[in-house]
Amino acid sequence: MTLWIQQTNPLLFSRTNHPPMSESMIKKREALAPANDFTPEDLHMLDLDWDQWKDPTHMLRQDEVLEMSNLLDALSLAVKKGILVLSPTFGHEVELLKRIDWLSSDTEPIDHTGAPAFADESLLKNAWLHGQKITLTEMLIMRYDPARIHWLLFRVYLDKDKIVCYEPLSQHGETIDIEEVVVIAQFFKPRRGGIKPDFDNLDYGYEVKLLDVQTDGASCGFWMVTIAFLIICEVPIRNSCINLLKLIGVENIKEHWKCLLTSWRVEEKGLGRDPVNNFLRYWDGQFNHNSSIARRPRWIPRYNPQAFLQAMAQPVRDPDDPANQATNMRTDQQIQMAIGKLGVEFDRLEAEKGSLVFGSETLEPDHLRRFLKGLANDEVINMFVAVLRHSLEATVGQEHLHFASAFRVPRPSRKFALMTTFFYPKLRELFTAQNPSSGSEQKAAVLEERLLRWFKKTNFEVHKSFLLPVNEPPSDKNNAGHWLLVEIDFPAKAIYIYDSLPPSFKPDDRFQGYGVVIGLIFVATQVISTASSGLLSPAGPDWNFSSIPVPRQNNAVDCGFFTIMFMLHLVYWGELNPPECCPPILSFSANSMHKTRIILATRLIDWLGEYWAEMAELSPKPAVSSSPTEPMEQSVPRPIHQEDDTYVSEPIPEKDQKSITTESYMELEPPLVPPSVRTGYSPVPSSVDGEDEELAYNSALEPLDEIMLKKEAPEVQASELWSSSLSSLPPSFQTPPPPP
Amino acid sequence: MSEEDHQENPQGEVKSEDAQSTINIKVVSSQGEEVFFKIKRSTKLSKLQGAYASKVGKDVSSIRFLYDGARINDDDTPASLDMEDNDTIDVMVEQVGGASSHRP
Repeated sequence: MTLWIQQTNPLLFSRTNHPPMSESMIKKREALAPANDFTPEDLHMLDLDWDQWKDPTHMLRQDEVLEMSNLLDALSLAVKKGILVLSPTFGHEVELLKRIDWLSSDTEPIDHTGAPAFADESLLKNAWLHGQKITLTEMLIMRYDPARIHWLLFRVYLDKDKIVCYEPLSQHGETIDIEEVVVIAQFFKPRRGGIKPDFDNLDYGYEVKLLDVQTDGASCGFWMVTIAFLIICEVPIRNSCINLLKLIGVENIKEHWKCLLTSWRVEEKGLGRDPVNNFLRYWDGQFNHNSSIARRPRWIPRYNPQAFLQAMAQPVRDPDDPANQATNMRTDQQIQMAIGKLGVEFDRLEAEKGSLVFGSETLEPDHLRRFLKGLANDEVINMFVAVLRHSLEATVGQEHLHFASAFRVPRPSRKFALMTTFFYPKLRELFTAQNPSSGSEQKAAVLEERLLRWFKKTNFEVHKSFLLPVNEPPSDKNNAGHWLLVEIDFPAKAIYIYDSLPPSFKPDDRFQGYGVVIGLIFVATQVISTASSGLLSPAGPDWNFSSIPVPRQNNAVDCGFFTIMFMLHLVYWGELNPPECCPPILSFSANSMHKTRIILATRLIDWLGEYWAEMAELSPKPAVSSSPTEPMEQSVPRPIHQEDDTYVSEPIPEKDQKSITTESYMELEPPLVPPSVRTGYSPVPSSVDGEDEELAYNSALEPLDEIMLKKEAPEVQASELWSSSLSSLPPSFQTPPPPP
Repeated sequence: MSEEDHQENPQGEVKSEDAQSTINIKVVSSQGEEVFFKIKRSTKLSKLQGAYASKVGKDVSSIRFLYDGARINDDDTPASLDMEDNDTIDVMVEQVGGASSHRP
């Protein structure tokens, strides 16, 4: 991966007749060149997959645009142009703006309770602060048009009430909804009065500039951010500029964006001058600022491998309660200390092959590291489901035992039932089975019956609201999915969605882009209703759906931890970040999420330690389960016929296949055992240890598989789903691997 | 699904008496693939998990085994989970999420 652009486009340089780079510039570029050692993962931008950018059909995703708009807004602040850059999707923000009273433009709006209407560090708060620092003249709004699956850049001239849309294709959409753009533009208009305008009767000029630079079906996003970059850098968007863009081509533009983003994350203060100038040289532009030109906000971490490794290697110096330490964690150094301490703890757990265990949930040491960096997986989320369930069950006198006790949080007041992350994929299975074209009644009935058993311990007299952490699966294997939280409130007949990165949606979409989720949640209400024997009624047309405005993530990795915080806050207080009861350590926002991750991990490890210690006092039980070492009895040599842990895969109903069932296998009646089973089994010495047993198992598998597949054949015809699943069996399923 | 739940269940004690008996267990993936196992009540289900993983060619750490919605731990046995003959274990794949990768 080359990050720094080579002068490989002869067309370009013959055309602009650009002077060769000065020696000092080349030196400087080389000094910055280590950037090509960085992968997006190193830069904490896991989903900015630069390998995917090589694919000409790759379209910029929402989270990628978010990262780029962070950069562009910082650049705009640096050059003091009075341009506000707004990242994509505004459904929630616009709803909020329509709901609250507007005070004059220099007064921060408040909600009906008198509290500030914008959460700290939220999109609107940051934008509002930006507008207070400098008089806004223009806004650059990145909008996704779901109707055309297309990115568009809207440039709003605030003083003229005029919107210009930069359309990278040669033709524009027929129905472009600009209402959201207008609402936001009106709100950020400098020196506006405190009266909310009548949005239906606003006279806004709308102009489309057809750029005709995009020649493929996917590069719209790259053109959008590049045009925004040029506007901020004062390059006039004229024909000559556009022609130059065409000559540069989208491939080169992608390379420049890699440089910009790398510099943004790697350099000490933020985006450096060189990558900007490198890009601008095409237009003879130049930035003369000395140091970094786009200051990276504190909440966007700098990638610094040495500091990180040092912190991880630091011994635990301070024996104080880490929870207290985390509470006081304010400076970067303290954060690094906490990270270092966690790292040591992870190493210890890994060395002991120990997992964190609570209830039926397990958190492998490997996945614990996800707290420090990267994406949350089901283990991380479900562990918090388990500890929060436990908190909800805490009885009087045992409050000190629940997870949030160290935060001095009162006992949870709301009785939520929490589902694990696997409920949602099960709903999808059930939904597919219920669909006449893809499933069958019989299969749906079996699935539903089994799903009902998940609720055998739920007391529906008490639990009438359900929280479901939802993993929206990725569009393809190379991507991660997205975490969000759904609340089903049966008494209120309402479904609420808490999503740190909401989707774009068409104006007439009453489910705001959550159609699939809502569909499956309706199935969930049916299952829960049945499980409650009708005590709770399934969702119907009279139910309400709303997407709750929540703190939003500003990177591509945090949604799982937002989902955990949504759960935690709802369980403890029934709302998010309530100022009167939420301790500061537990309040969360995009900008503090890197701290929240550490706090969650530290507190979880400590609390589990305390919990198991307390449990050990009550009854001697293992606190942390070690990874399965071989059970004692297996290391003891003994005759084969006493082997009791052998198991063989076998089709259950085929009682006439008894000749190769485990009974006969274990009883070792040679005439009944097929030859391959015997050959596989014969080398097993009289002292059976785990490995040999596995070997015997594998070789014994072969003939059984054939029987099993034959047996499944009739069912395959019964439903399409089965046939498709059978053909997708991994090869190893059909032909078991030979014994080692 | 913690240990105390099993102790509360009077059936568990009755079942654990015949810990040496075997039961049939069906492991079902979300695509509907079924694998059958015959297993002693006292055998740790971690063995079944390992066997299943190698059978379908997956890393055991990338899949999760659920019984009635609760994850099966390494130390669980059919007896400790109160499993019955012909019971079903669900296999789920690991879920990872960071950003809305399928959303533009």
